[in-house]
Amino acid sequence: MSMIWTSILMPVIGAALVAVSSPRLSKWISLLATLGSLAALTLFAFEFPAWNNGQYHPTEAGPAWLDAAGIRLSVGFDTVSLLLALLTAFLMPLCIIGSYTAITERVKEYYGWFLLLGASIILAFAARDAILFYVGYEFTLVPMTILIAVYGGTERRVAAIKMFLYTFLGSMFMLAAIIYVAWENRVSSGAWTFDIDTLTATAVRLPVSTQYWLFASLMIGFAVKVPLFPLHTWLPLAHDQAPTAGSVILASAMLKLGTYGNYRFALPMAPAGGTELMVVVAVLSIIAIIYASLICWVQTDAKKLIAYSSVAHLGLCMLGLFALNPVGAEGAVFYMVNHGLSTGALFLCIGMFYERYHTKDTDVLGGLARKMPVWASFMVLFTFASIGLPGLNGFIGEFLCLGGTFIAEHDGQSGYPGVLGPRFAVIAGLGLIFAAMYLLILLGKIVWGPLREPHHDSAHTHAAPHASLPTDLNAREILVLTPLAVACIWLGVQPQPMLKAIEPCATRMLANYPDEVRRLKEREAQMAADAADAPNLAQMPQHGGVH
Amino acid sequence: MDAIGPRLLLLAPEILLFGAAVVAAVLGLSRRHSVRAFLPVFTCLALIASLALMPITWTASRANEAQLILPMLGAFIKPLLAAIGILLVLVSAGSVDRGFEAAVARGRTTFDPQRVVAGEFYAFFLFSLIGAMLLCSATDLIWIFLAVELVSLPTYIMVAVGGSSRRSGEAAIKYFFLGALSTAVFLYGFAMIYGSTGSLELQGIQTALAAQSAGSGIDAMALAGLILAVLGFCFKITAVPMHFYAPDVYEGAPSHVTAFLAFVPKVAGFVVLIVLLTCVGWTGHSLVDSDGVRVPYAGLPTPLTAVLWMVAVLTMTLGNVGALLQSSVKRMLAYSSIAHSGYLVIGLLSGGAAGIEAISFYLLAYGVMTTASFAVIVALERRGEEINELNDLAGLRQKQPVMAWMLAISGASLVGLPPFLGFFGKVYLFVAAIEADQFALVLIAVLNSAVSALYYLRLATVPLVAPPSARSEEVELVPSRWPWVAAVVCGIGTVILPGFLNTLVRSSEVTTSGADEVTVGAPIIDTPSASLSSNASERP
Amino acid sequence: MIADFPIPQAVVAPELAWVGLALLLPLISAVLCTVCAAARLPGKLPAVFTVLALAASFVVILRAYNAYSGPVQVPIFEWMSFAWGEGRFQQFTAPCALYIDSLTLFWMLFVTGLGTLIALYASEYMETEKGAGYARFFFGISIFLFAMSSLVMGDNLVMLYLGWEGVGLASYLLIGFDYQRPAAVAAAKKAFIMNRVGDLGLALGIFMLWANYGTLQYSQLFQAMNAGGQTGVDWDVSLIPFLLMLGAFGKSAQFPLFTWLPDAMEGPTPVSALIHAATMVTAGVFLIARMYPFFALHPEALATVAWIGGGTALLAATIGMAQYDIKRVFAYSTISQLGYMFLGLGVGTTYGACYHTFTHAFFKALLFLTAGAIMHGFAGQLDLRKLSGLRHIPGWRLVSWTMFIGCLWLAAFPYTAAFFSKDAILLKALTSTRWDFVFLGWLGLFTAALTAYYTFRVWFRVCCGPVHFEPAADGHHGDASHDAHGHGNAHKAHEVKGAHAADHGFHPHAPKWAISTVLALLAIGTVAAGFPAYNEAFAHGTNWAQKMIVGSSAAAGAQIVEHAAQHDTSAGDHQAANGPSLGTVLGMDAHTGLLVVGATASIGGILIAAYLHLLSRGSADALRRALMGNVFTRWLPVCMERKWFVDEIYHGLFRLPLWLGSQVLHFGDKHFLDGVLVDGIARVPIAAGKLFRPLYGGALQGYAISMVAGVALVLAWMTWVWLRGFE
Repeated sequence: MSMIWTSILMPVIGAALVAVSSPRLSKWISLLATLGSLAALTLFAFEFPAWNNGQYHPTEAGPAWLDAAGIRLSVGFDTVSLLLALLTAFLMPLCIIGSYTAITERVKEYYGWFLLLGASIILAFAARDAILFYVGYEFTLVPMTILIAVYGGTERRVAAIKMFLYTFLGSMFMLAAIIYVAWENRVSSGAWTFDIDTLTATAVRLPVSTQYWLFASLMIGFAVKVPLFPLHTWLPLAHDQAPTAGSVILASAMLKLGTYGNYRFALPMAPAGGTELMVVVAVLSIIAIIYASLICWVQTDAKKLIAYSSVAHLGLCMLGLFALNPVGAEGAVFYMVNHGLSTGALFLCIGMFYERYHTKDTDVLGGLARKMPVWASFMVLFTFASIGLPGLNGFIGEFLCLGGTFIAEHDGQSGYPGVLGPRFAVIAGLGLIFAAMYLLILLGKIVWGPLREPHHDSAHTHAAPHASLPTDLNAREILVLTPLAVACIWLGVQPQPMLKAIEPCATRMLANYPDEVRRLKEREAQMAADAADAPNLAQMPQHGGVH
Repeated sequence: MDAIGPRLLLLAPEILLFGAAVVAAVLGLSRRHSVRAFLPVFTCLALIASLALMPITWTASRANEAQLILPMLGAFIKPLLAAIGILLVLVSAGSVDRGFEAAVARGRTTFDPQRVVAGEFYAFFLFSLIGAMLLCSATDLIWIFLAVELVSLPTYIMVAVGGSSRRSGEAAIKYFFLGALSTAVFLYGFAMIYGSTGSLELQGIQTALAAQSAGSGIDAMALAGLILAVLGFCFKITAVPMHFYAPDVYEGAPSHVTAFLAFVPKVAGFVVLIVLLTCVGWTGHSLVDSDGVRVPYAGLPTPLTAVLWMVAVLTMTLGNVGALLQSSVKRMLAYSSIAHSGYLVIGLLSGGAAGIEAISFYLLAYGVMTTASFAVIVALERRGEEINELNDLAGLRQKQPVMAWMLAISGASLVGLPPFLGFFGKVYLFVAAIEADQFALVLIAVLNSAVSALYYLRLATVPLVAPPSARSEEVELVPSRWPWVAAVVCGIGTVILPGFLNTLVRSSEVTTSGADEVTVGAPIIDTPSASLSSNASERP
Repeated sequence: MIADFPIPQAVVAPELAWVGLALLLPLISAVLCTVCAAARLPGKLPAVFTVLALAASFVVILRAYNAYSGPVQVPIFEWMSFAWGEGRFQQFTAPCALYIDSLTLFWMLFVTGLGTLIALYASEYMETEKGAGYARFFFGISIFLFAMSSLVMGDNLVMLYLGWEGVGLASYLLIGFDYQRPAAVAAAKKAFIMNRVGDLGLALGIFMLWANYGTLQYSQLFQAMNAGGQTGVDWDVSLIPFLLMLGAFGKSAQFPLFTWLPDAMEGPTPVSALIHAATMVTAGVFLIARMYPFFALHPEALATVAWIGGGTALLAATIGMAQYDIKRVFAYSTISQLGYMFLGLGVGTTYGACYHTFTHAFFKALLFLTAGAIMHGFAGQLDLRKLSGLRHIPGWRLVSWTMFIGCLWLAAFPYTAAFFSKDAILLKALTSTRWDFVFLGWLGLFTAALTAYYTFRVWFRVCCGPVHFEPAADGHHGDASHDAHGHGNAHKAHEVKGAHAADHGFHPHAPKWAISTVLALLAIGTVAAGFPAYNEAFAHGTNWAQKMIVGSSAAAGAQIVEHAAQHDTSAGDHQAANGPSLGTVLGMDAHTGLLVVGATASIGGILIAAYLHLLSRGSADALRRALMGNVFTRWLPVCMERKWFVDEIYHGLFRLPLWLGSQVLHFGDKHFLDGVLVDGIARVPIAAGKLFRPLYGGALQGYAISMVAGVALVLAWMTWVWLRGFE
C-alpha cells in the first residue's frame, strides 16, 4: 500500500479509533495518527523521484472507482502538491497539540472531525483524478463547518453556514466545468476519464470562446476558496468564529486549495481563457490587496485582522500566479507554503493569549510583552515573517510575486511575455507598506505598550477552566511554536531547494501561455490599429470579456 | 400472446407477493397478538423471497420473448423496489395499529377484528409494490393503466389507515381526488395516442411514431396524447404542475407512509415515463422496421422536449425554494422529493442509455437517502406524537446521537456532497445531461443544488449543533426498534455504497442492456464544436 | 563614454570565504544573546559576547583590508537562484555572496569599528537593564551589525535589500526598546513604516534593474555598464536611479521621508549614536555611491539628489537651531549633514560624500555618546535650558571637552577633518558649471554657518556658564517606564539620592571607565579621521580616503560625470583650457577661497552662538521674544520650533484620508458587500419561495384548480405552437 494512501488513511483510521476511544485517549490517538501521516508523507518525499522534472509521481492509474465515468482512485504528487500536502501534514500535529487545553467539551468529535479534515485536504492535494480532487476539496467543508458551528464563537452558526454555502455554490460551477471537459475529452477520445493530465491536454485544444467560459466557471469555484475580492466576505467571519486550530488549518491549508486549484486546473486547462481574463483576475487581486490591507488597519479584533491580512496576502499570491512568468509563478507557489506557515503561526499565537484572556479585542488587551516575553518574541518573529522581512520565509514569495508582476510586461527576453507590468506592481507594492502598517499597529497594541488587561472579574470567571495555564507560554505551547519558527527562518535563509523544486512545475504550468499572450498582444495591436486608446487596453478589466 | 409461459415466469415475483398479500390480509385478523406482531416479518420474508426469485426468473431471453420495450428495465428496478420495500416495511413496523395494540396489551380493551388495520395495511403495501413491479413488464397501455392504478389505490388507503390522526384522513381525501384527476389526464392522453397510432401495444406505438416522424413528423394528436400522458404521470413523480398535493399529503400522512409515498409511486411514475418516451425515442437512436431498414428517430419532438424542459426546471426550482420556508421537517422533505424529481426529469430529457441508467442509479441513491431521513423521523416521537417540527430535533445528538448523525448524513447526501451516495447520483445525471447537450439544464441544476444546501444544511446542523430546547428535550425513541434499524442501515448505506460504485452502476446499466441495440444504443457523439448554444433549438 | 572609465571588474575569489565571518560573527552573538535571555543568564554576558563578536569582525575586516588587492566576489552559498532557460533573462540569481571592493572595506571599517566601541559603551550605559532587557538590547545591536554588513558587503541587490530591511528591523527593535513607553513604540513604528515607503522604491528599482539587465549582481551589472550602458532595454531605464534614490532618501532621512529620524531619538542613546547617526543612516549614501554609474547616466537624477540634499541640509539646520533637547539638536544636525553627503553625491564628488560620511560617523557618534553620558548622569535630563556649566563639575571635564571636540568638528572649524570633507563637497558644488549647483554650494555654506551656530549653542549652554542642573522632570520617580531616554539611568539616580530626595538633593554620577574610555577613544578617532586630508593638504601625500574611493564603482561614476561636465564646458568655455580645473571661488583660487569662506561661516556661527548663549544668555530669549512679538516675523520661530509642520502635513495629506477611507471600506465591507450583496443573493430564493406560497393554500379545490390550470396552460401553449406549425 503506497505511502500516499497511508498518509491519507492514517487520519481516517485515527478518526475511527477516536470515535470508540475515551476523550483523554483521543488526544493522543489523533496526535499519533497525524504524526503517522506526516511520517508517511516525509518518507514518500524522500524517495520522491520527480523533484526536478515537474511531473506526477506515481503516474500509474489507480483502481477504478466508477468505470462508467472513468473515475479512478489515482493519487500522485508533483512537487507543488507534495509541498502543500507536506505543509498540511506538518501543521496537523501542531494544531492537535495546540488544541489540548482549548477544547473542553465534545472532545472526541473535535479530534475525529479534525483528522477527517486533514485527510480530505491531503486527498485533494494528492488526487490525480479530477473527481477524486473534488471529493477531497468538497468534503473539507463538512468537518470545517462542524468545527466552526460547534466549537466556534458566538456567531458560529452563521459563520459556518455562510462558509458552507459560499464555497458550495462556487465549487458546483467548478464541478460542472470539470464534467464538461471530461465530456469534451470523451468526444475526442471516445472514453470517459477524469485523469487531470488527460483533461488538461484536451482542454487546451478547445476553442477560445469555450476556454473562456471554462476558465470563468473554474475560477468562480476557486476564487471563493482563495478568497478573491469580492468573494471574500465569508473568510473574516469564519476565521473570527472558528476555534484556533480550525483557523490555522483554514488559513494554511484550505485556502491553499483555492490557489492550488488555479495552479492545477484553471490556468493549465484554459490558457486562452486565462489569457483573456488574466487582467480581470489581476485587477481583482490588486483590489483585494489594497482593500483588505486598509480594512486590516481599522480592525480591533486580532483574528479578523489576520484574516483580512490573508485576503491581502493571497491577493499578492494570485497576482504572482497571473503574472504568467516563472518568477511570479515560483513566488506564488512559494508564497502558498509560507503564508501557510506564518499565518498559521500567528493564529496559534493569538489563540494562546485568547485562551488566557478570552478576548481578541486589541483595545482592551495589550502590552503583553511585559507578562509573556516568550510569547511576545514568537509573535514578533511571525509578524515580521508575515510582513515579509528578508531572511524570513515571507519575503521570498512576496519579492518574487512582485518581481514577476513587474517584469510581466517585459516580453521576449524572459521567454514569458505578460500583460501586467509595472503599473500593477507599483499598486500591489503599496500593499507591502500597508502590511507593515497594520501588522506593526497590531504589534504596537498587543505586544508593546503599557500592560492592558481586561477587567479582572470577567477574566477571572472565564479564566477559571484554564487555571492550568501559566502566565507565559508553557512547554507544550513552545513545542507547538518552535517548529514553525524554525521553518520560517530556515525557509527564509535556505529557500534554494524549494525554489529549484518548484521551478519545473511552474514552467510546466505556463507551457501554453507565451503563445497565447503573444496572440493576445497581436489582437491588441490590431485593435490599437483600429482604436486610438491601445495603451489603456491592458488596464481595462472588461477588455478580457470582449472576445 | 403465443408464449404465455415466459411471461408468467417473468411475473413470478409479483405472483408470489400477491399470494403473500392475501395471506397478510388474513393474518392481520388473527386474535393472537404474536401472529399479528409477525406480520411485518412475514412481509419482509415475502419480499426477500421475491427478491431471491427475480434474478432466476428475469432473464434476457425471456424478456426479449416478451417483446418488452426495455427488456431488462425490470432486472434492476424490481430488485430495487423489493430491497427498498424491505426497508420501508421496517420503517412502518410497529407504527400501524400502535395505539390499539397498546390498549390491547394493557388489557384496557379486548381485541376486535373490526378495529385492526395491520392486515390490510401490509396487504396494500405489497399490492402497491406489485403494481410498481408490474409496470416494468408492461407491453401495452392498458397494462400500464392497470398497474399504475394498482400502485395508486392502495396508497390512498394506506395514507388513511396507516396512522390514527385526523390529518391523515384529510390527506387521504386530497390524495385520492387529485390522484383521480391525474389518472383522468393520462387516460385522456392514452386515448389520443391510441387514436393517432391505432395501437395499444407499446411496440406498435413505437413503430407508428417512428413512421410518423420519418414521414411528416409526429402528428399533433399523438403529441398531445404524449404530453397529456406525461403531465398525468407528473402526479406520480410529484412534478410541476401536478405536485401541489405533495406537501400537504406528505405532512398529513403518517411518517412511515410518507416514506413509502416518497419512493414507490415515484419509481412507478419514472418507469412509465421511461417506457413511454422510449416509444418516441431520443435523438440518435433508430429502430429496425419490419423490412430490417433502420428508421432513425427524429428524437423527442420539440414541444415534448419543451414541456419536459419546463417541467424539469420548474420542478427543481419550486421544490427547492419551497423547502426553504418550511419549519416542518416532513414538509421540507416533501419539497425536497419534488426537487429531486426535477433532477430526475433531466435524465428523461437526456434519454438514451445514459439517461435511463442515470435515472435508475439516481432512484437507488434517492431511495436510500430519503428512506434514511424518513426512518429517523419515524423512529422518534414526542409525547407519543410523531415528530413534525424541525426544531423538535434541536440538540438531538445529546439524547439520540445515532439518529442525529443519520439525519445529518442523509442531509449531506441529499444535497449532493461527496463522497456520499447522492453526489454520484448527481454526477451521473450531469454526465448524461452533458452528453445530451443539456448544458443549460446542468447549470440550472447546479444552482438549484446550491439553493438546496440552504435547507439541507439546516436538516444536518439542527440536530447536531443547535442547543436543545424545552420541546426537543421530550423527544425519544418509539417503542419499536425497527425504524431505528432501517435508519442506521440506510445511513450506513449512504456512506459505504459509494465504495461499490462500480457494482451499482453496472447493475443499473442492466436496465438498457438486452434491448436490441439499435433501440437505445449509445448516443451518436457530435463534434466538439457542440458548445453552450448547440441545444438552443430544443428550448422553448 | 562609459567604456572610457571602466568600473574595475571583480574576480571570483572563493578562498576569501573567511571574510564572511564578518556577517557570521554578529549573527552568532545574536543567537548567544537569545540563549542568554532564554536561560535567564544574569550579568553582562550578552555585552561580552557582542563586544567580542564585533571586535572580531572588525579584525576580520582589517585582515580583509590588508589582503585587499582589487575587487573580489566571494561566493558563499546559493540563496535565491533559479533558471528556466539558457538566456540571460531566463534566470534569477541572488546568491549569498560577498562583493568586496575598496568602497565596501571603507564602509565596513568604520561600521564595525564604531560598532565595537559603541557596544562597549552600551555595556555600561545599559547596565541597569540586567537580564532579558539587557540581552534584548545586544541582540538588537548584533542583528543590526549583521544586517549592516550584509547591506554593505552583499554581492547583489537582493542581499543589499536583505540588509536594508534588516537594519530597519534592528532600528525598530531598538527604538522601541523601552516598549512600555507609547512614545517609543510609536517612534519605532513610524521609523519602520517610513522606511518601508523608501524600501518599496528600492524594490521597484531592483525589479527595473532586473528587467533591463537580467541580473542583480554588481559584478555583472558593472560588466554591462562597461559594455556600454544598459542592454536589451525596452523601457525607460532612467527611472532606475529615481527609484533607488527613493530608497536612499527613506533610509538616510532626506527631505520627503526625514521625519522619522528625530522621533527615533526615543531609543537608547548608544542606538542613536550607532544606528541613527554613524552607520545605518549612511546606507543611502552607500547605495548611491555603489550604484553611481547608473546615476551618472542620468544628470537629471543627480541634480535631484543634489537639490534634495542641499534643501534637506538647510531645512534640518533651521529646525535644529530651535530645539531644546540636546539629542534632537544632534538628530537634526545628522539629517543636515546627510544632506551635505547627498549634495556631494549630486554634484559629483563621491569622494567628498564618502569622506564626509566617514568623518561624520566619528564626530557624530562622539557627540551622541557625550549626550548619552550626560543623560546617564543627570537622570535623563537633556533640556539644554536646564543644564549648565558641566565642565566645572568634577568628573565631567572629559565629557565636556570631548563634546567640545565633537562640536568643533561638527561646526567644520577650519582644519578639522569635517572641514576638509565638507570643503570637498562645497568646492565641487561652487566650481560646478551648473548654476544651480553653485547656488546649492552657497546654500551649503550658509547652512554651515547655521550648523556652527546651533552646535555651539548646545556646548556653550551645557558645558559653560554657571553650574546649574536639574534632573529630568520625571527622572526622580525611579520608575523605569517613565525615564526619558537611555532607559534605567533613573535607577542610578535613585541609588544616589534615595527614594524621596528632592531635586536639589540630586547628585549627578560621573561616567565610569567604559563610557570614559570609549569617549576618549572616539575623540582620538575623530581627530584621526582627519589624517587622510591632512596628509594631502600639508604633507602633499596621498589621500587614503580618496584612494579607497578610487577603484570602486563610485569613482568610475564620478569620472563619468566629470568627463561629461568637461564635455559641456569644452564648447568654448574659458575654463576648458586648463583641463579639469577647479575654477575659482570669489575670484580666488578655489581652495583658498573656500578656506576663507568656510572659515568665516564656521567661526561666524560660533561667535554668534558664543554671544547669544554664553556671554548674554538673556539676549537669545529676547531675540526670540522679539521675533514672536512681530506679526510678520513670528512665523520664523514658530515654524522652526514646530519643524515646519511637516508631520502635521503628512498626517493631513496621507494618514487622515487613508484612515477615513479605511473606515468607509470597513463599513462597506461589513454592511454593503456582505450585508446587502451576499446576504441579498441568499435571500432571493427565499423570496421566490414566499412568492409561490399562495399556491399551497391547503384547499383541495385550490390544488385541483392549479393542476388543471397547469395542464390547460401547457395544452394552450401546445395548440398555439401547433397552429403556428411546429418548427
